[in-house]
Amino acid sequence: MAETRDIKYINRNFDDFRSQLIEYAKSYFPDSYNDFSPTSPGMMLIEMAAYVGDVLSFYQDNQLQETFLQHAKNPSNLYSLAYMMGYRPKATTVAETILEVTQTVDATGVDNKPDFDQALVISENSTVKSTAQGQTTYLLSDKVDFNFSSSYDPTEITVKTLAGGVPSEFMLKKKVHAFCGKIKTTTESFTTSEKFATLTIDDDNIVGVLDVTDSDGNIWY
Amino acid sequence: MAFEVRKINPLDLQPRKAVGLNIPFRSKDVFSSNYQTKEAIKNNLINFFLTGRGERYLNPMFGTRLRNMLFENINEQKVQEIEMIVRDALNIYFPRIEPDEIKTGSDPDNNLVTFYMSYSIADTNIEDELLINIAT
Repeated sequence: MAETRDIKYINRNFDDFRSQLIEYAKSYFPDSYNDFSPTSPGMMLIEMAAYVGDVLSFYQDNQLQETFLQHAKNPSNLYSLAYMMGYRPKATTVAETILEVTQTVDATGVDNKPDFDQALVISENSTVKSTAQGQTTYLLSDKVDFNFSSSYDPTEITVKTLAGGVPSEFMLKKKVHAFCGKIKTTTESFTTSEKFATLTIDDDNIVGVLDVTDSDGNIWY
Repeated sequence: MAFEVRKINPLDLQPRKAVGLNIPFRSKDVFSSNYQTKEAIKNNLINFFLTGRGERYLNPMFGTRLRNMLFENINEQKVQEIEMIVRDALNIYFPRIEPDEIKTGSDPDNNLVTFYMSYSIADTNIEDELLINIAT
């Protein structure tokens, strides 16, 4: 039968672990180790073990804290706990799509390559209107730069027209994420300072607030 | 006739009771124990001198800047500075140790820096010496 040893599980910081380990060594290994001065190599090992215990205890406390709605800090945990209690957020979502944007550029006269001096840059939040019925407006979520190409944001280059067997025009194609919506601006006046002022925006189907700036150009969060 | 009383640590009278651990940890079973206070103190001194200040968790004053000092040009002023650092550190962490001689030297041809100290322990008849070679 295994020997029952007195191990306490409630002392969980560095100093408590250290003193518990010293007491443990004194109780169970009195013939193997007796030097408990801070300079001894054995104490160095004991303190290293106490340090590991201290760090693990921190994470254990942190994990436990995340299981309580009133103490959780991680947003995904907070949402999970809220869902568990029956909360259903009334989030407004918008239609999203991937747009293909193309541009035709001439070939350079020297080596018959695309002339990137003609390549355009379309800024983010530019609006694109659908030709279908309803003429829905889309906003580009990212900048479209035909000069730039990477594995993350590639520019596809194809020959559009040939003249005398050599390319005379190229077509540059990029893909960009777009979402359906409009950017609107609303202005509110403040006369006196007020802590945590609350404003009601007089509109429907608000997806989110992009930014808040004052008349001096300062950004507020 | 008067005679000087010498103290003996009770552990030194119990040959089967280990005092501390020897460093470096490289015996068959990793740790080898020492059974005399003299050996334990010597190992504690080695551990102390080879620990850099700030290296020990929650004990930032533990250790010396000896290792850093040894890599500087060894001149008379530096030797005095090292001796002062060692004596100050011993006063705090080893109050019973009385250093007799402290020597610092360098052997550039073999890329070696040496630190030597002879010492005695107060109220005992223990005398010992310590030599630390640091290969650069």
